[in-house]
Amino acid sequence: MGNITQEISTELKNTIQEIIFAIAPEYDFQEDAALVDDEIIDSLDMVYLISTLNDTFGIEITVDDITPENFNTVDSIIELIQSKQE
Amino acid sequence: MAFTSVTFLGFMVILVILYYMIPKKFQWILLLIGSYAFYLCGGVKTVIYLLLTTFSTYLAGIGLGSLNFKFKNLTSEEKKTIKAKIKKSKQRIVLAAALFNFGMLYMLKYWAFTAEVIKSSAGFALYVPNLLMPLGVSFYIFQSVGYVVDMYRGKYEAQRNFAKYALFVSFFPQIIQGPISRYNQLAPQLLGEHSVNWDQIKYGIQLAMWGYFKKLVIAERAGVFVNEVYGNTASYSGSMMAAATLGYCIQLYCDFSGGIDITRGAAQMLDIDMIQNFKRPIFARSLTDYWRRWHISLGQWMRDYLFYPLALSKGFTKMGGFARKHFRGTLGRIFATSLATFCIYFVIGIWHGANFRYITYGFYNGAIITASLLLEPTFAKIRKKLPINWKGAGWHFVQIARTCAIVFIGRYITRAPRLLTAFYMIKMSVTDFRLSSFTDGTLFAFGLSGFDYIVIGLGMAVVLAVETYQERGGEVRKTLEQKNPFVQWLAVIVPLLVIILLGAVDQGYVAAEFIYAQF
Repeated sequence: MGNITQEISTELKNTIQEIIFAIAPEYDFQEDAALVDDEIIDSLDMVYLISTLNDTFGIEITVDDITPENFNTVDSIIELIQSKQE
Repeated sequence: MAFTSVTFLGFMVILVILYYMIPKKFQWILLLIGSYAFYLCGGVKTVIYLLLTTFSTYLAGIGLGSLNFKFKNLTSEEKKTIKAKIKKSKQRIVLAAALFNFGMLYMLKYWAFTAEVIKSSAGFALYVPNLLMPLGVSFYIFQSVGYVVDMYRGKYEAQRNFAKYALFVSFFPQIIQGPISRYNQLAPQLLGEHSVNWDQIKYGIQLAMWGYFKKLVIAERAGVFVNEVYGNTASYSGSMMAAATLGYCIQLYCDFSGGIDITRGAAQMLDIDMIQNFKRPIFARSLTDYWRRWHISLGQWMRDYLFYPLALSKGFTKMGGFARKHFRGTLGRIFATSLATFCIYFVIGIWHGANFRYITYGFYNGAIITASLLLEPTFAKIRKKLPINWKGAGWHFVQIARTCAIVFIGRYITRAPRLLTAFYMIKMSVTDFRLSSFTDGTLFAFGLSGFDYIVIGLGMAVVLAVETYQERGGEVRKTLEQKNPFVQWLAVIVPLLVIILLGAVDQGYVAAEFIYAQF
């Protein structure tokens, strides 16, 4: 069960990384800078990111979810998506 | 009560002394009394609008807070069934508060313009009441509606004490030209207890002095020249029009940033940190970057309360999906958001005022930013082919110069008395540019002497030097702290002397109101 959860998480992470790469190809995933607080993505990128996440995962991220805490790292985005899928 | 008046200086001295003398639990009450006293000096009648906004948004906050509380305490089953109903109730409250306050703003700021347009196009006259524009109405309405939307989003507990909420809306340093603050950033500070902090008082005085220097020494001087040329365009050459527009850029830069520094300095003396609203826009590398540095709080308000809701709305999401299916590459990706961006800049334009100049200004900014978004892939291809160091200082300088040029052209539009005059002046600046205008004595016919121009030039050199230092991460006030006491005292006395001796063009001169106070 743990392996399945890990697999889903890895797949989720890879998908999110692909989406972020399309917006910000210069972003270093190893360095893990804060996407919002370090201004890697701006408001236009944010809209594209949310629209793509909504389409890809069939969820509804809304304006209310737009906080730096939810979008600063790939892990926080994964948590947000998983919370929307519940 | 103008920030530049002796009355205001006296008001601040008394307020700061009393603030730190009285029991800390009453400090917020003193701020409230001081804020309303400040506001009433601007006109007793206009305080009714401030009270209407305060009361309506206070009630909206209470209503939304109650619904949020009710929802939070339901079981998960109850939440599923009632969620839609509560959401609808909350939406009605937000809509009512927004319509009431923006409706009031529309009547005060835009009705006369609407009536004029209808009269000239359709021929019939509508009643236009003779209403005084309340001080800071755009700022406090935006701030209060922002609070209501944040309450809708469940960001904080409602403020149930009307007087405490009234302080958030009316806090005097922000009332003239912002910043547009957020409740969770400002209210805890306003309502908190503050001990005497000599560093904060010192920093606040230094920041305010820097603001007075920019406003009184540079902006007021430049304004003399600008007002004369823009008030009598038929009398001047194209080169004078261009020079006056450059003068207006200097005037507005120093007037707006000076006002913000005085605002933040005054608040800092009370141990309250107000948000940054101006971040050296002269170093902006693009128009988008410029709007992230100029009037930061307005841009952030537009982003959080207008752009995101618009761009993520069902209509725009559908449009985005359609665009991604039918347009290739970047166009498909950014079509909908570019349109939303264009709408936002249109709103920013008309926020500044009710006339065709500001509508055009909004379109001007929106069109350039939208075009740059759509053309970015093309530029990226060109950049790959050219043997230029795109990360080097040379290109950095070109980007800054390019942005300054775009902003410079925009200033014709906002400063000219009429839109057609702006186009005329732009045309004349190119077709009638005569260097002889700078040497034939015209420059000294406005009431400014050679000394005044030197003061403007040297003043701007000092501003640029300080901003360059800050842009590179330097903190002027902290750097001064590390110097010996003689240098630190010089850093206080010299600016003070400069402001006193040079901060007036003529004896008996009265500084003009801040430019942004009219918005």
